[in-house]
Order: sequence, then C-alpha cells, then structure tokens
Amino acid sequence: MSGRAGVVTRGALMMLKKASMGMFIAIVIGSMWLIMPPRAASIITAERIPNADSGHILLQAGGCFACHTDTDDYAGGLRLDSPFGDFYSPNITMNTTQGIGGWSLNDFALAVRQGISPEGTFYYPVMPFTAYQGMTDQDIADMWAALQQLPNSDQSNIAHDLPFPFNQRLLLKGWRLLFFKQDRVDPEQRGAYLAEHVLHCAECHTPRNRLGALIASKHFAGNDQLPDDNAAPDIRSHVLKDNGWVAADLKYLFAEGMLPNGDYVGGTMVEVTDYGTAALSSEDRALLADYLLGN
Amino acid sequence: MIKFKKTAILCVSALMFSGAIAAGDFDKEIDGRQSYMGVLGYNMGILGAMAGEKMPYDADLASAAARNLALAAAMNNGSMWPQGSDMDSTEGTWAKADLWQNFPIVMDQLGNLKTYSEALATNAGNGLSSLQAGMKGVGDSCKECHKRFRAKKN
Ligand code: HEC
Ligand code: HEC
Ligand code: HEC
Repeated sequence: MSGRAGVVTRGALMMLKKASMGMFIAIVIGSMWLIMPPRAASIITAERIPNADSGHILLQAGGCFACHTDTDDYAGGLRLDSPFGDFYSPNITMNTTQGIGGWSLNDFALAVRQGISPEGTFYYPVMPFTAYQGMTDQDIADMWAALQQLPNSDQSNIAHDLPFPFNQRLLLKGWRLLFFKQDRVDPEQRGAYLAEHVLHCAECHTPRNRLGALIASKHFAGNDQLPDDNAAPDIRSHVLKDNGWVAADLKYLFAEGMLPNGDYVGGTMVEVTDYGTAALSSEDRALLADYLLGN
Repeated sequence: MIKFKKTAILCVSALMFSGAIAAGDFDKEIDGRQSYMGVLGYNMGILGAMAGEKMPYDADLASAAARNLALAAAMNNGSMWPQGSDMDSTEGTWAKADLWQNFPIVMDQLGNLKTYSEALATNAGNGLSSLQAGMKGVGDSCKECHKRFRAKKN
C-alpha cells in the first residue's frame, strides 16, 4: 500500500535526486525545468469499501474541519495568516460550482496527498499535503465517502492575499523539488501514523526555515513563530519526560485539553484537542501518547 | 515603539533610584489574576487527575476541589483586569490586548465558568463518571478564553 504513490510522486522523487547539483538554479528556472505533471490516471487502484464513519473521524482528526470551516461546515473562507501573506481555505463541500462536487476520488487523492489540483496546478503547503502524503488509500477513500454525506454549500472562495513573488504558484515547483519529501510511516505503527500523517503535529511543533519548510533535524523541537502570538512548545520525548509528563497526562490532554498542572491549553492547540484528538478513540489517544513519549 | 520607550524610561528610573525595579504599573493586578488563575488550575489539576484516571477517584477530595473551584469562579475579579495591563503594553503578562476589545465575550466566558463550576460542585462527589461528565463544560470555558485571549508563556 505504501508504495502506491503514483506516477507524479516517483517522477518528483527522481527529479529530486537529479536536482541535488543544481537545486538553486532549479528554483529560478523551475517553471521551465519541470514539465507539467501528468494528470495521474489513477492513484487509488484497488477496489475499496469506503467507511464513511471512519472518514468523519479522519476529517476531524486531520484538521480538515477546523481549517476548512469559517461559518458553514467545510465551506472554507477561514483566513490563515502567514509570513508570506493571508491565505483563505477553499470550499471543499460537494457543491459542483463552488466546492469540489465535480471531482473524482482520484482528484481528491491527488489534491490531499500530492498538493496538485485537477488542473495540474500546485497548492501552497499551507494545506498540509506534505503530512497527508503518507495517508493510506483506505483513509483517503473513507474521507471522500464522508464528504459525500455532508450538506453542500455554495459559499464562494476568497482569493489569497499574497504579495509578489509569493503569489506566483509556479514558484511552488521549485519549493516542492527542494522540500516535498515523501517519507511514509508504516500505518501499522498507528501512533506514529496518526501523529505524522493525520494530525500533523510537526506542522506547528517543528520550526521552519525561511522558505517555510520544516527543519527535519528539529522535529518536534517547538516553534514560537506561529501566527497570532501562538507558540508551540518543544514536545520531544526527552523534554516531555523531563517536564514530568506521563502517558495518563497526554491522554487527558488529548481528551480534554488539560495540562498536568490543571492549566488548560490555549491558542491553536485548542482546535487540535477539541476537533482533532478528542475525535479519536481512547485506544488511538493512548497510542499517540506512547508514540510521543517514545514508548 | 511605545513598548520600547516605556522600557527605556524604566531603565532610566531604575538607574536613578536603584531600589526596587518595577516591571510595570500593574504588578499587583497581574499578580492577582495570575494567582487567581493558579487557584483555578490547582483545583482543576486534582479533578483532572481523577477524571483522567491518573489518580484513584476519591469522592471527598473531588467534592472539596470542585467546591473550591465554584467559590473561586463566583468571585468578582473585575479589578484584576485594568485597561492597559495587556502583554503589548506591559511586561510579565500573557493576556492578549484583544481581551480588552472583547469585554462582552469575556464576561460571557466568566459566566459560563461560574455556571459549569456550580454544576460540577454539585456532582463531582457522585462517582467517577459523574465527575468526568462535569469536567467538559468547565474545561471548555477555560479553553475558550485561553484560545483567544492568552498567549503561551515561554
Ligand atoms: C492548515 C489549514 C488546512 C488544513 C488543516 C487542511 N487544509 Fe485543505 N486547504 C487549505 C488551503 C489554504 C487550501 C488552498 C491551497 C491553495 O490555494 O494552494 C486547501 C486546499 C484543499 C483542497 C483543494 C480545494 C480546491 O478547491 O482546489 C482540498 C480538496 C483540501 N484542501 C482538502 C483537505 C482535507 C481533506 C484536509 C484534511 C485531511 C485538509 N484539506 C486540511 C488549508 C487546509
Ligand atoms: C495548529 C498548530 C498545532 C498543531 C497541529 C499541534 N499543536 Fe500542540 N500546541 C500548539 C500550541 C500553539 C501550543 C501551546 C498552547 C498554549 O498556548 O497553551 C501547543 C501545546 C501542546 C502541548 C503542551 C506542551 C506543554 O509543555 O505545555 C502538547 C503536549 C502538544 N501541543 C502536543 C501536540 C500533539 C501530540 C500534536 C499532534 C497530535 C499537536 N500538539 C499538534 C499548536 C499545535
Ligand atoms: C475569561 C478568560 C479566562 C478564563 C475563563 C480562564 N482563564 Fe486562565 N488565564 C486567562 C488569562 C488572560 C491568563 C493570563 C494571565 C496573565 O498572564 O496576566 C490566564 C492564565 C492562566 C494560568 C497561568 C497563571 C500564571 O501563573 O501565569 C492558569 C494556570 C490558568 N489560566 C488556568 C485556568 C483554568 C483552570 C481555567 C478554568 C477553570 C481558566 N484558567 C479560565 C484567562 C482565562
């Protein structure tokens, strides 16, 4: 299952290897350097029986609901400020004009895991496809089935407000070449799979370089440069242990949002606990806790 | 800019008087509200440890902590939040300026805290599941306010 990343992925990976010599040049002439990615004919090949119930949980846990909802559920419009400008999440309800109602399952898989639209353009990594790239075919199919069941909204999308040069999507080709790594955690390692690919803890808890890419060597070391004065603390296992965290504390944080000293989390972590980890089963919260503590 | 000027003035006065160095004009209020929050946290810590099954459930201890919480929540803490005591204007606080722009919301949140704490005080002694059920409303009141109006201490 984990090898089924599709033509685009393997192509990009080969490019990445070839690129190691001339990466810098690649950013500059990125648009000429890479041919348009082919519309992957089929990413999800095997027959699957989608489970919409599991899909609803994944949409919550993955932060899709939190980020794609401002007023109407999943209708987008939420402003996301960043050092590069303001992004607005799009409508992902099944509305055929404003949402993604005309899409196929494979269009959806390509968008969520590869950050590529049905037209072949690239999404900004503010949509965390860099984490979702490791989600299983089954989980993608489940989310797609869940989205079909939700009410659709005709709320129109708001254009991102980005200054030049960040408003040039073509630059994303160079960015992907440099920073879009496809490392997949084995879904059998469920705690790790949930943390890295579904709940994407690293997106906030790992510091970024100046081009907005996560610094792999500082995985979970904390990031105090988040929008709106948010600061995500260091959550590496040795730091958590030094601070006295045990599995029961993490499980209660994931269920209720409380810290071991009776304080309650604030900032964007509230969305993670309330919509994300609270939606998981208590078994999954325990696996997540064990993964964080390195047990 | 304003923050910088203020710091500069403080440095100068510190040199002149070389006595107690004041961190800001609202030390007492900030200390007061942080201690107040500390009391809320202390009691929630006990209740949460039981609710999260880190510690065995004890009906008397749960009742006592929940009653303390309800008493604290009912306290009039209005004077602890003077205008100008936000983190952009003064040191030593993690209260966002936004709090003072949204007083009606803050009052609602404090009202919710009071209501849910009273309910918890009535129920916390009636068994573990009753405690667990009552934690949600109180915890949500804490989180709703921290989410918007409080920055992470670091
Ligand atoms: C941190 C916020 C955030 C999260 C979390 C997030 N998205 Fe997105 N998503 C965005 C933004 C912003 C865009 C637009 C990107 C662009 O224009 O390049 C987007 C684009 C999309 C698109 C393309 C829509 C279109 O009209 O082209 C789909 C589909 C999508 N997201 C689905 C999901 C799913 C499913 C999840 C959860 C697994 C998710 N998103 C989680 C912010 C987010
Ligand atoms: C959207 C950004 C974001 C994501 C995603 C995120 N966090 Fe957080 N996290 C934060 C912020 C911000 C804080 C600080 C909260 C506060 O201000 O009280 C935090 C706090 C925490 C804390 C408390 C640490 C301490 O020492 O106080 C833990 C533990 C934690 N997060 C774990 C996780 C885990 C595990 C995940 C993935 C399941 C995760 N976070 C995903 C932003 C995030
Ligand atoms: C109406 C808003 C609001 C509510 C409700 C609220 N808090 Fe707070 N809390 C704050 C603010 C603002 C701060 C930061 C105060 C400062 O630094 O000046 C804070 C700080 C704290 C602190 C850290 C104090 C310190 O020593 O720095 C703790 C602990 C805490 N809150 C616990 C709680 C608990 C537990 C609840 C619920 C039972 C709660 N709070 C409800 C606004 C609120």
